[in-house]
Amino acid sequence: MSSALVLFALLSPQIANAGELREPVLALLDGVEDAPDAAQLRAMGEGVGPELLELAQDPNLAPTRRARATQALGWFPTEQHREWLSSTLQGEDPMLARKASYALVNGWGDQAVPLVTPALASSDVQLRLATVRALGSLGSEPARQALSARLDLEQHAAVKDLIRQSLAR
Amino acid sequence: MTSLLLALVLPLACGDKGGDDSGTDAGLQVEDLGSFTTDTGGLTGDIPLSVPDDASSVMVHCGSYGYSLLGTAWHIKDGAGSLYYTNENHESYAPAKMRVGNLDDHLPVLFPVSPDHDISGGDWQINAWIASGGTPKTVSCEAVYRIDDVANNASVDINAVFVGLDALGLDAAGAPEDADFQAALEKADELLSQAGLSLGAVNYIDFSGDVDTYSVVDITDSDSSELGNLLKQDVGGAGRALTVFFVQEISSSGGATILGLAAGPPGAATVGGTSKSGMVVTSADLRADPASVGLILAHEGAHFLGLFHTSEKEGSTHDPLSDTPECGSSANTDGNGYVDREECAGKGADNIMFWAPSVEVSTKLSDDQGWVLRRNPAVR
Repeated sequence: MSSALVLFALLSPQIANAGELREPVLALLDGVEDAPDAAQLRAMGEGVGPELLELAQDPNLAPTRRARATQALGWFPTEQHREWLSSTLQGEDPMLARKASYALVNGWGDQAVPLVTPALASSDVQLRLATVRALGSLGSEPARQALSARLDLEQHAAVKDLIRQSLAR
Repeated sequence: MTSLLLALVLPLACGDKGGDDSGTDAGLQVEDLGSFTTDTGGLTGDIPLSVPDDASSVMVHCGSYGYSLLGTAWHIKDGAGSLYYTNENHESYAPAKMRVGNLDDHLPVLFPVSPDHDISGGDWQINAWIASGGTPKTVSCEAVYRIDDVANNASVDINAVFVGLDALGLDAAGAPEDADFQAALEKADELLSQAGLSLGAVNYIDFSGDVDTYSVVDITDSDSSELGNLLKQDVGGAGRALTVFFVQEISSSGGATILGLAAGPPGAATVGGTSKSGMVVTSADLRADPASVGLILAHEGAHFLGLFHTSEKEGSTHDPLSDTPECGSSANTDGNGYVDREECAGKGADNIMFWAPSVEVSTKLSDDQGWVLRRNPAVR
């Protein structure tokens, strides 16, 4: 490592902290039947959010770990995370797009409704289903309005049924 | 791996009737136990079992009672009338080397699940308890007895069902030649073989049901369980086998990804058409890390066949086996509520049934774990 990189690392506590937490956070992401919840990740300290972003963006990491990191980013709602999640929602990785939809709704609540509503018209049925579930879990009036607006347009029976179930709750 | 190379390669189309062949397998004996109605306290009366003298394991299953209700075994009495298992405090009862889950819709109960708690033949009884809120529920019950010899080198067949994995380029026709899928099977075989259990014939099956619903299995809706409904599907294949649904992803609360889930545990071995008749594996990592998918297959398969986590994530619950290390909550030195692999080094993190195993670290199975696995009715 060059001296410039060492100096940069020393002057950037957030990045150094993120590196230190990589293995402990990854260990939590390895649960077979359990993914960590917000409280368990937050208990690990301030560097968890940046570490999750690095893991979510790491192309060398297994897709499910990146997906878990992406979904967990919603529990650390920073502007940087919102921007990355919004871009990932429109990206080409269908699994990460689904996680981004959930993360935006989990982290930003009603403020995320306009961000995720376009995904209700995605050509990817699974992304539409995930977004209906995410908005359905919100249950707020803006979320219900977004779902109602999609109901008449939706052609896929499974998605249409899920919208109806979400609105009936 | 030899057994895998010799495995029967049999692509099937979903819909061909296969399902439950346990009634015609010479190594199994099936007893229709009849229908039983719970009282206002949720308990069934005594359900009598005629356990054969040569039975090495028993799997009783009762259902269905719906996804919104939970059921469990309340009492099990052996042929001498002694409590083999109880769900209530009992002064004359030493805690059994047994765990029974609180399960929705359909209740499989497997015993023995520890060599310290073996069985003998005779007239046994079991009572089921269903949390039905005072409303009587009627369930049908059946017992499956494993009566053939338990081999030291046993094998279990696999019904590999592919559910909408077009994005991975994986289906029944291609899977026998797919290097990554075969690597996953090989890894699972390697992990289980140390316990004297190898993978046998593999039946490759394309799922022909509602792929859009089941390729991403959502497990958040307890009233209309996608997981249970998927496991109920008649996929054909062998009855005395592990039925494994390979899906894109399992999605849980808040959209969290789950890597694998087995019915139960343990599952309704050799019985098709119930919500506890198989297991599901998230396949998204297959191309990047096939060995990790193999680890999940081995881990969930072992759950289905009767193993529990050596230590659960909080460190407060452990499996009923004597020779697996326990990692207690005191190991949680960083205070995050989890006992992770680093904290549990030397205390079971190297076991494939650790709650958060890794391909690099978690490679072991104990003698007792092998004893349980080899006894399951689905195993030959």
